[in-house]
Amino acid sequence: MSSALSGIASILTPTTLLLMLGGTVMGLIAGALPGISATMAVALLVPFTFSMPPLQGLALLGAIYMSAIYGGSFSAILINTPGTPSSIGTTFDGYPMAKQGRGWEAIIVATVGSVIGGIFGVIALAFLAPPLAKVALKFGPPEYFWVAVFGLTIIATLCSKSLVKGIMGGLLGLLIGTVGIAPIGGDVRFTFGMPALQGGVELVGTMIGLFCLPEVLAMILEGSDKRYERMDIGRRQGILWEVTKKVLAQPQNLLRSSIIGTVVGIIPGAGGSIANLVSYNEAMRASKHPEKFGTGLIDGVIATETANNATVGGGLIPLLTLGVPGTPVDAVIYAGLLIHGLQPGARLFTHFGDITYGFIFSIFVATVMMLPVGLLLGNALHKLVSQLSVRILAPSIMFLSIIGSYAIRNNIMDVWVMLACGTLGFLLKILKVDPAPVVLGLVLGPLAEQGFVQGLLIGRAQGIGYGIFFTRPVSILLIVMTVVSLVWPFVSAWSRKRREKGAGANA
Amino acid sequence: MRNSDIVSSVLVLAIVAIFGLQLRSGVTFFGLVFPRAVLWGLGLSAAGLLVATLVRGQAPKKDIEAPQLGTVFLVLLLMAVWIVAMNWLGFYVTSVVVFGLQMLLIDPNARNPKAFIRSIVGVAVELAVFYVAFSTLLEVPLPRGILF
Repeated sequence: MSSALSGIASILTPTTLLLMLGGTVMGLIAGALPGISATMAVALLVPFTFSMPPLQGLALLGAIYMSAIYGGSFSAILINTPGTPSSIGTTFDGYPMAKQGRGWEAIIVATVGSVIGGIFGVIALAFLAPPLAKVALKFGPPEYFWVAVFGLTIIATLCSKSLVKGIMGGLLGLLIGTVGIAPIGGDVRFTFGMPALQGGVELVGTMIGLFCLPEVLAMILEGSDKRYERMDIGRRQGILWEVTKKVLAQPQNLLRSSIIGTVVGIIPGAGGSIANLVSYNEAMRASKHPEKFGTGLIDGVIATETANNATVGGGLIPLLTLGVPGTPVDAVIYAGLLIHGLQPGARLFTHFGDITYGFIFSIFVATVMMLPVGLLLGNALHKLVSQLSVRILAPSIMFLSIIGSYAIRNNIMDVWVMLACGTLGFLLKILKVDPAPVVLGLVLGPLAEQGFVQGLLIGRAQGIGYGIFFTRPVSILLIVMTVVSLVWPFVSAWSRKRREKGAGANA
Repeated sequence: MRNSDIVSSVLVLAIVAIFGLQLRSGVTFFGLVFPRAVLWGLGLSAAGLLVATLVRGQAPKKDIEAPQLGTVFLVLLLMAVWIVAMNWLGFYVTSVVVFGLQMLLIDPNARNPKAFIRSIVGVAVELAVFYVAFSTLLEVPLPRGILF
């Protein structure tokens, strides 16, 4: 309790609050710009938190994460292009509202919904994570091995188009993660004679390369000077309170969307991009007038924006308690924790409680900050979204990628690794291999290897060898969860096809 | 050959071969067991994808959309120049020059002297703000060459 209070007190200092305000503004701008995802924004900014005290750095990252997810709604509403994948569903009703001259109303709905969803997710994180962390403390190496394998099954959800390519990407990430000194035994592997690689591949530089460079190259190839039409968004006196009342008059929609967002966030691999669509669908099913969805109904915007921000808190639950990142953004936050010497997992709550609870509280504060920041910056963001040129944006991102990958260890080799990974990421993109499984493999590789080798050593000492991985109760539970997680996307696709077939036959 | 399944599986098999050759030299069992399992998994999945694509019975779909590889190559080359020169010439100076060149490459409208000078002055100011913010406020150490 005292560590929680001390963490909360550390957040309420002028410097930290100012940093979080800056993070909220940066996240909002990044999210609002089509082409810059929340993952990319957080990846670019992780290195700059290196010189900060851990809690300040994490508070900044948390603020960027939460507000980038919300920022995606601006471009979804104003130019019919979701700024982040989490706002795809917002275009369905948000853009029709903007076309009817109700753009500002849609932005207020998105803002209030995002704040409520974000707060719900953070409350769930604060109450669910500590008991789960207590359970995780009982885990030994075989359980951690299975936790890593379970985390890797996210690939099945991330790569529904080609599971084999997703598996190849994940294994490629695991392979890159084995470069350098082995965690048990100290053997040096895959350094190709380069001493700079003995410490392994630097995680943040690799993530910047894989997530940012391919997107920048795609941005350049797409067009140098895309401009969007600016429309009248219908700002007027008294609209804020009027629309807020309309949003608060839908408590069922808000609660349902918040629960969907949080639960989807907890499920590894799902994240905001799925939560906003599931929530939209459920809001439509529960509505008395589903036929009006897609014509500019605030119910749809409430559903998508509440759910996608609720996933932030939900997604951090498996990351902070088990060390399993649920989404690509969580994988980047994982790297952010590592550069501050914090190993994601149960120990965060026992040994670094002040930082962990402070981090959770900081996300709550950042969520509240989104309300004034979003509404004050709304007009400026409208201009920015419709006018910013790729010729400035693309080199700026490259510039940040170079500084970011250099800043962690002041090592030029890390910048070369970033460029190599960026080139690999682009190559994978044109070969239709998603970079997210590669990053997931890279993050979970060391956890899997350490758990596997240590587990094997214990198994040999007990005379059961590999049997140790299949005989402990928690391991068996994790194996069952892994199988379910792996099979679930196929079962769900099969049942969807059957439903569609049935509906077609009835029609 | 322009089928993404075939090209990606061949690429992965090449990576497996390169990494596999590295594993041969004196690594103990505990350093070997995990990467070897990963290499086997990677090799089998790539080989499986290749065989499945080739024996599917119909000609593999040419699904690789060839982007403007020349532009991509030039952008990546300029980034490589950026990395090499920043250590030698200095971070700020190199960044202004390469940023300007990137803009010329990306936007044909910037390729007239007046527009270019206007842009490069803007870039110099933008990067100066970044430089000061990173090196002094955030204490991020930046590479120093013969200039700055």
